[in-house]
Amino acid sequence: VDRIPRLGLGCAWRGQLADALARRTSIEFIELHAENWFAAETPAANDPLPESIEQLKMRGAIVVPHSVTLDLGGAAGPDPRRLDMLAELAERVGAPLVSDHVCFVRGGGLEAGHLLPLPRTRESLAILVENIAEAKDRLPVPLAIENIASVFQWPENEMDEATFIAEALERTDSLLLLDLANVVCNEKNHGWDPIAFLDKLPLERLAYIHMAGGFVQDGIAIDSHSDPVWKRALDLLEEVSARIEPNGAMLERDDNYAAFGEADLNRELDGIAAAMARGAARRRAGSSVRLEGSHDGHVLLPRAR
Amino acid sequence: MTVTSSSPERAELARKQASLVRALVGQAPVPAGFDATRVQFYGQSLVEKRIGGVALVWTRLVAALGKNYAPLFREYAKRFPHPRWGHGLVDGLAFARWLDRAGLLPDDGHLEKLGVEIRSRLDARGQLVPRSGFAFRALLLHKPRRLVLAIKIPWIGEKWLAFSRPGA
Repeated sequence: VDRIPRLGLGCAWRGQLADALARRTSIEFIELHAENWFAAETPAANDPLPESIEQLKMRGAIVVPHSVTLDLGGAAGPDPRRLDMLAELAERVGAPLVSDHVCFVRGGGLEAGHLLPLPRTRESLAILVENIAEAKDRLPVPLAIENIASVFQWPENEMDEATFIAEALERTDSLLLLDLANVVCNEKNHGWDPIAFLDKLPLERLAYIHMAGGFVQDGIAIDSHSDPVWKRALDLLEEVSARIEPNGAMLERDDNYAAFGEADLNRELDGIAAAMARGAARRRAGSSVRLEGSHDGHVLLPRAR
Repeated sequence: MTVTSSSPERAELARKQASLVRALVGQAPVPAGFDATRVQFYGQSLVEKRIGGVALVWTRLVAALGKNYAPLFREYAKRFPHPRWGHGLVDGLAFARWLDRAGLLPDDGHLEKLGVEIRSRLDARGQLVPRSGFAFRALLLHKPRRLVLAIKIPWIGEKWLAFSRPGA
């Protein structure tokens, strides 16, 4: 497994949150939405980094580029130009790793504009593995891959998502970016058991955790990053932290900024830190796991007997 | 490692992924076996996501359109899928140009579009890239009636001038 530094408590950097983030001294890492810093999106891509990011970096915060367009599960394979732009950005900000998703984003010459679930078949897994290997070859730092939230599933699925992701991680020797908000959405949308999901993932590959909130419309959970972090996601963060010490956990907030002041941002970050602390206390007490589930030896602490 | 091979498995996956994306953007029916309601729901949420993404960047245009913004964008999105490169900024530029052709672009949208166009251009791939050379644009606005000139000179910067008719 690739070694990366401890990331700690973090937040997705957005212009709307820049000042509040720069004022919060306990921010240990920030994630940049990588495409916002690609020349393809913004002509200002090569301008100096905003003051708020420079300040955070000077205080020792780590910067992690997070991409959404590599198309790691796409039939065409990842676009070398996008990989090169991501590699350049990683070097520019001194990132210890980069990340993208287990998904596809385009097909038939069209961009979906968001992350789409893959058919979970042996054939599709083999293509994902080939694509990730190709991406890793072109990137200067380790790659973490993230579980997505989905609204629909492919009819030909042969395995569950955790098995699919776990196998991709092992076969490509990649790191895991675990999005607990997506686990919550998938529980609501597909009835997947979040604990069984966690049980199947190789948590020793965990690079960091995403936390966010969304809304439910017509009975479907939407991963919009527009609302307070799901309570259920905080419970799952505690559960993960009771099993292992997460290398990092961060907030993603992408919408509804009018209802999200500095006090709200700080409350959300404190909530994430508190959930990790509760899990750590359980872990130290040795009575770590209160929930049923099977493990394959990757858990660092004994389970409750 | 060589660049991604073209295997029969990849060709099959390409076909399947293309039909799903076409269904999501409303260009084809939902492929057999999928929950059609869910796929259509998700297709709509993709348009809503574009609406939010453009609104974050094109603040003056969106403010000027007010409550008409979302319905107009949904009309535009029926014929214009998500841009190949970039997101909010590029999508919003295409939207502003579509509004302009239809005579629906408000003055503030014209000004915001002018700012983007004088600083950058779409290259052959559809990527928005900075303009390196000299650029000049003139714009006639109506509320109030005025002529706006924007000039970008390499190494010097941008100069914007507005002329209104005296007494207008």
